[in-house]
Amino acid sequence: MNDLLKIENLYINFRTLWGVAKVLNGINLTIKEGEIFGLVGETGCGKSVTASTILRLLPSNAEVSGKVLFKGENLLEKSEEEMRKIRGKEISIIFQDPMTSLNPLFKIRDQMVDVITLHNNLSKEEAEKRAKDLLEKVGLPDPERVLNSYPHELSGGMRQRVMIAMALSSNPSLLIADEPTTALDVTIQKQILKLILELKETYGFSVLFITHDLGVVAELCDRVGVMYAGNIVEIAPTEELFENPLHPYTQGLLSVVPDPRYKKKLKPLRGSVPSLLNPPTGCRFHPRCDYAGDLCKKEKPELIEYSPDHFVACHLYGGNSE
Amino acid sequence: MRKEEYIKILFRNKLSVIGLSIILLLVFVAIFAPFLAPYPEQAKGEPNLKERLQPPSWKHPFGTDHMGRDIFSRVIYGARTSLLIGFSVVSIALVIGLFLGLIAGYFGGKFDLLIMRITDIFLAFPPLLLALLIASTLGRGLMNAILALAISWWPWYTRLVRGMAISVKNRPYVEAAKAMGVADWKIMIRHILPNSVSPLIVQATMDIGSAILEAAALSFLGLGVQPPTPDWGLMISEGKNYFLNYWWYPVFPGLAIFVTVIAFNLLGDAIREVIDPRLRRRFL
Repeated sequence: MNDLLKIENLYINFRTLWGVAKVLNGINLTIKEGEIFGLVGETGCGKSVTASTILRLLPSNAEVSGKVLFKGENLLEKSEEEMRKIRGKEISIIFQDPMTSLNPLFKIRDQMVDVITLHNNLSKEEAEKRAKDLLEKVGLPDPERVLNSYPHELSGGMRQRVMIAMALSSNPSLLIADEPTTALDVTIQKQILKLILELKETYGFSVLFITHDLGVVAELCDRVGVMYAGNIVEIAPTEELFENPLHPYTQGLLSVVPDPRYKKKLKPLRGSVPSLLNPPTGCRFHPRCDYAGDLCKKEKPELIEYSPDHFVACHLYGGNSE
Repeated sequence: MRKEEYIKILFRNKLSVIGLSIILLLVFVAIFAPFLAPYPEQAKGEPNLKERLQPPSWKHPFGTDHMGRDIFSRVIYGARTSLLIGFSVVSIALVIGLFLGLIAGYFGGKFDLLIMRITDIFLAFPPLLLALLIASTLGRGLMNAILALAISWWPWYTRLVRGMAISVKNRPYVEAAKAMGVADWKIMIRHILPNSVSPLIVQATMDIGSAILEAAALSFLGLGVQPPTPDWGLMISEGKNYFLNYWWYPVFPGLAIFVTVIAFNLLGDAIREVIDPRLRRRFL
């Protein structure tokens, strides 16, 4: 499979009133064509910032360096005009909160037609027909009724389906799903995940799936990247990651997933997430790591391929310049 | 909420109904002034010196002025002038305010800084004083009065729109629109503007009343509408010299202004009540 998106050495700093927040600390990742890549991590570890960077939607106080290669072209060097043609057409995003992602004042029809005509050279009637098709594809049985509704007349699950339909309206090659199920009921969550999987099979786009829910990752993703405090600490195929986690943080994460079959006590990670204004030196995880040594305090570990397709950034697994 | 429900809320409050009725009546009177005024020629300024300063009677319900003109007819024609001033001042101020406020609020940064500092300069002057200054620079007349008032009025709208734009631009659907590749100007028109329009409607409605009042003040001070145009402010100004002996001359135009301004304020309150559920009085 070819690489669709390649992020190389991406650093992002936010200038804030309290100092410079080092939000992304040189991340590297690749999303292949037709795969679902999961990005997991705690709140504030940089998952959503990564998504915003790909679409170049960062606030103006962000400083960016590195490369975001999409189909071989660096998105960070594109003009605003060129980016506008990529957003929604080549790369689409669906957001966490479907309740507020639609403009409350317009009917679904107007909003969908707007988006469809934006990137496709279609008349209003053709766009409406397209909208109906899309709504049917995302499993809304009465598209005409949905088109005539205002957002508040639809349930959360229906709205998220509408958002997905809008995101797919121009056949994007990459769909970024930024915690698309977090705000939904568990049963609806399951339906939406299934839908994304089916649509991916039909249309063949790639998905960058951002979540903090390891259960969702296990169910959906082909490969997973684990983020901690602005770093990618481990990337592996999903099964491999769950069976053979290498990084102490990943191991910690997996050990706190409750298993209803056994009544065992969960072993939480000690300490808490560091402030990005003043992150720990060396490996950002070292203050919470049981295995941390002197090297971890001094030097940032690089992401290395420990076994085929399994990458880890940890001094335990060597591969450092020393 | 459906339209019928809005209308129901509007009609539940008696004061709203009164305000709305008065305004509809005023608009009606202004449109059909030539048919309603008993002496249209006198209203436009033709003197009738035989009947100078007559008290109110069946022939002249509001009496006559120092040139014998029927004050009732002139008050009716004055509604035209006043509504014209009220609506045009607010429309001009609103258009400027919308344009600058949206740019300042949505883009922020340097645009915001520049536009808001200019706005501050205008806001530093007492509004009537600024209008006086501009009117005296531009010269007398109806159009110049409108322009002067509009120029002293737009900063309020700019601030209001900017505030709304800032609060709306961070809502997820704006971000979603951006992520779908919608251009900035389209986001402003489709998303920011419609979602920030409700406080504007309230403000604009009330301001029509205030603009009429300030235009009257300009006319009173001799900088607004010039004789023989029928204008309430001007009539009060001319009538003040006769007030002690011929009370009806300034009183009826004054009442007209009073009632008009109150009506627009009542309507503004009513609209606010309809738009903002928190302000709704449940029992009335």
